[in-house]
Amino acid sequence: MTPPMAQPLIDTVPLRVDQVGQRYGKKWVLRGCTFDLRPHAVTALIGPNGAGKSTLMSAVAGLHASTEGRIEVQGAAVTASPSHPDLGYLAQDKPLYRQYRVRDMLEIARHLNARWDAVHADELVDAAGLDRSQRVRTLSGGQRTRLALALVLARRPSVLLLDEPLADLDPLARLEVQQTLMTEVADTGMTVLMSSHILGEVVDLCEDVLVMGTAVGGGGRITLAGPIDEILATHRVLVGPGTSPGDLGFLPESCIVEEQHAARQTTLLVDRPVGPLPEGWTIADPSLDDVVLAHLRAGKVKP
Amino acid sequence: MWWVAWRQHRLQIAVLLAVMAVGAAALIILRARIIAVYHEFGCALFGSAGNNSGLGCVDTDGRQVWWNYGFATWSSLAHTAMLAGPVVLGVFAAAPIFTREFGHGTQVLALTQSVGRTRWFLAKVTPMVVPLVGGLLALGFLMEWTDQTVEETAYFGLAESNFFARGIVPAATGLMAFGLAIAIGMYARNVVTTLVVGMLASGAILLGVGNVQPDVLPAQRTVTPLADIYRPITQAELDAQRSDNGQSPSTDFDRNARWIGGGYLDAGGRKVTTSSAQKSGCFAKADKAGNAAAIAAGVKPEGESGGVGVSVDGSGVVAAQPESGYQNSVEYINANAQEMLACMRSYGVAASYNDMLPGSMLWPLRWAISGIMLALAVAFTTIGAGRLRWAVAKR
Repeated sequence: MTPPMAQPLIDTVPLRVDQVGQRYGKKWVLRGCTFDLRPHAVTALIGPNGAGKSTLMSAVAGLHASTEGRIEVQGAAVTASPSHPDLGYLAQDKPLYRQYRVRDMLEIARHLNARWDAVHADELVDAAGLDRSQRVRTLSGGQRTRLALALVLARRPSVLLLDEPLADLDPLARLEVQQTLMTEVADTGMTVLMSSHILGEVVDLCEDVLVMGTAVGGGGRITLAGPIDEILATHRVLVGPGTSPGDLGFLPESCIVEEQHAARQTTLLVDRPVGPLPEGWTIADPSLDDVVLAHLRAGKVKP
Repeated sequence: MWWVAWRQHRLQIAVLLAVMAVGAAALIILRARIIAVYHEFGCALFGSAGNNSGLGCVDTDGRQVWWNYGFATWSSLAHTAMLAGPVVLGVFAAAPIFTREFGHGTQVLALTQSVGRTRWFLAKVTPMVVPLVGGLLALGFLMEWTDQTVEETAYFGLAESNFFARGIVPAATGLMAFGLAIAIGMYARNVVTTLVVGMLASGAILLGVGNVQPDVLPAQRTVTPLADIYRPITQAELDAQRSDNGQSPSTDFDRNARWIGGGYLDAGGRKVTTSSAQKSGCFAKADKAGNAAAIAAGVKPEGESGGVGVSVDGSGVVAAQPESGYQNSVEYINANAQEMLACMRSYGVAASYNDMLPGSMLWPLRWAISGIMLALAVAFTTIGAGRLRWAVAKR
């Protein structure tokens, strides 16, 4: 009999991260990180290298206790090890015992988990076309990712953390992994948090986005969060004549995410609709790339 | 998790058991070889024909069967292996357990399943510890069994080279080395570094514990007044000693005892330090007095020196061999003793003392040293387990 997937409580936030900070020695690698995930949503966690994405994910996975703040999965506080039973975590380097065969890995994972859907694991391995007698070290990068994903998904998690799942994959393998993920999300309604430092890798899969900055004194501050549709609906690009920063009095300063000044042209990204513009100014819809990059740049310079 | 740990480490466990099985077979063969040598020369084995049956055993050519008849080298090698083996095996068993996981990042896989950190740690350590301790216990008692075959090797159970190679101590040493390698592995996170540092550090600890081993339990002190050491003897006593020539069973010989130290005491029981020059001076004066007494008594000098009359005092210094040939006469011995007594008393010496660990302390000391090793093993393993939190996070 197939074990049922863990059912999240109604109205419970699947993952809540509240003022989480992580310090190694004297160095803060993550500080003041706060966000909630929407139930059943696929959320992209975007940030440059060193922003603290992997540190945050491993803390959520229970690999280490965060130095400060609180993490909750399905309303229960996360403690360091064992991993929350409703949580699945795929680390960036997809760790597998390379000396074993595929069937050995399945057996090992079965013994390591209290809840294990062997039928589903077999389905995913078959769908990936993996030969069970093949040793893990002989698998391609895409095959290893799909095997690692099968091991995570067979735990039947309700919250799935994927740390750079598509990194180092060729386009075909990337497409196959994306299809597996989307099928799983559609079938189970699980909540997914997927990190990447390349927006284009994950934007097609995601409904929500979190942008993590690298502020002075530690990364981890969320500079932009919400459904992609809403973000695109509220942000605007304003293009006007060349001007100095002091001449933008027609806009509230707080709404300007980024401003770029050239000799004859000023370009602004604002995070809310604005009223009538002075003569010579035009308004346009930004792309998600424009918005995210502007927030990443802003997050880098703002302490 | 236990199945996973077994699956992961079964090859290593098999190698560990195979190495120990080879060691056990070597000890059994060595014992058979010793028995064969003794039978070949018609000697009795220890315990089968009296208290000192091995002593004085001669072959058909009249040579004494001692330490060089085919098994001495192998016996020494066996002792060396049993001293170093527990350290090597303990480190070998522990080094790859976690370092290999860290090397491939697979601790992340294991610890993001339904297994807690403590359970994972215990499940991975236990399958290695059980065969290691069991095997080393077997080897330790096999070494003792082999050593007890003949008298030459059965003695001196408290001497370091025997103490750390026999009984329960090798298992305790192996456990200490295992725990240390676990802790080092958590810091180094590299197999080769852990092997090298683990063996060096475990070896250093073994040497350190060896140094304190005689002082762990209080030694028993025997005080002999100087007047008893240098008491006059009669011709009848001397004749009795000569006719016996050391062949009588020594009923008070303590097989496993270990001499810790000795020296001189004054009348108040305080230690007296005498220089070598002072003692040599006394010996020379005593020799001169002995010779003079023997000549005065008309003793005929013998052609060569004998062993009777050579004094071994508490400091372990052996008196100079007199060369005049009178030393076997009762006149020489008594005059020599009288002069020695007077000379040593002039330096404030009233008695000599010897500190010994009696053979009855063998097992109490084994338990004490094994307890120290076990405490170190627990401490190191606890440090390792504590470090696991850091090691997992800093991947």
